[in-house]
Amino acid sequence: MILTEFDYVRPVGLDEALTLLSGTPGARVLAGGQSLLPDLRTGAENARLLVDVRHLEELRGIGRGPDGIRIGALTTLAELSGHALVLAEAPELAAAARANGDPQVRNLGTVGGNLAADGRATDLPVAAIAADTRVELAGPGGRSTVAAEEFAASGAPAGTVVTALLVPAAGRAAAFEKTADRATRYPVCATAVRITPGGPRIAVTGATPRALRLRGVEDRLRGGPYTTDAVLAAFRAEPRELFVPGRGTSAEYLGHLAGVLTARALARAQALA
Amino acid sequence: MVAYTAVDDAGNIGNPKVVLGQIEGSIVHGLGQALMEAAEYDENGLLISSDLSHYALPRAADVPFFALDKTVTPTPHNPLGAKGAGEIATVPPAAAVVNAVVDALSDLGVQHIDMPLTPEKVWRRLRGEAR
Repeated sequence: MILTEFDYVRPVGLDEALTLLSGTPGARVLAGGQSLLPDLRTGAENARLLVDVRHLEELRGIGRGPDGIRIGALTTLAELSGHALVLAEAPELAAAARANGDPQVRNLGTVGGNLAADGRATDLPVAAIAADTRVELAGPGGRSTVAAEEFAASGAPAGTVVTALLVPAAGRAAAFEKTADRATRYPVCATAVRITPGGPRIAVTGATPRALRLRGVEDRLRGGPYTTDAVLAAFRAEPRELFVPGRGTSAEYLGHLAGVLTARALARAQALA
Repeated sequence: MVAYTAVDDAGNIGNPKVVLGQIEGSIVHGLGQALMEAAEYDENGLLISSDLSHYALPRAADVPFFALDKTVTPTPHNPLGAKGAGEIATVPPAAAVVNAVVDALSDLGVQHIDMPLTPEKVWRRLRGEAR
């Protein structure tokens, strides 16, 4: 449980950070440290060099973007959960941020870190997927964006830093629901929904191997009504192997729980819309 | 857990804050037994609930403020008339919680559920499964 040896550097700007990341084997980005530092202690992760980006102002700030909200990657979960613009236009992201860990974790943990903490079922990715978020990355080849769903599947490409989330505005018609593990506070199951003119967008994590958009459930519910019975039936039609048993939770129970949480989220999103 | 009321008798009380603290801690301990805490072993007999990231226990945010009251029945067996206060409040919470859940499911014929009462166990009984 003692940290292994690594080097630490505090680059003056994003360009220097990117040069260090692409030029050093075993280099990792350090932001809030709420996943990486515990994982270095337990040996679940390794690092030869920590590139500390916490002070880079260009990764901060929440503001209106071209067609929604731009959320800087260093925004803390506490800031995200209470930000007026986010509460009004992307309420599922605010709720997901609030559901993470405890106040100390939310005060230090960042949006970018929460999204990039691959291998951990964190709360933000599922909300980002439901919201049709694009993840903005900076890498050796310049800036690029990738859909949150794809990012959840493949993670951050080597040598890149998450710089921002680009979230379309929902006008409140979105919600997040979670049942937390009693010990870890990670989701046993969490669902996020966003109701769009084309139908509902629905994503699930915790009960599934990673944060996933459930297109089959969306198709079955298109046109509504989103009654609890209809939502549970839509989840029962999913393949059983979609849900992965956890500690003391069967796949059958998790499938039911995902349906119940999604029904609650849809009801709340409709009431807010 | 939305409310919990307890009445305990520790005989004559010297420092009420110490006694109330003991009782509050005892109640949380009992609630953890009823709802969360379990020593879990894998198929090789290895303890897997071996640290606090794998062993669930209630924290302050998991419990309500308790409604506490007392009766005072001094013991004749010591000059202070004081009785132990460290364990008496640990005994009732698990029984109270399990009885409340079993009572809520009594129209389904449920008479017993093994502790801890995890959501999946209660869900299975709601669906009419034997355990």
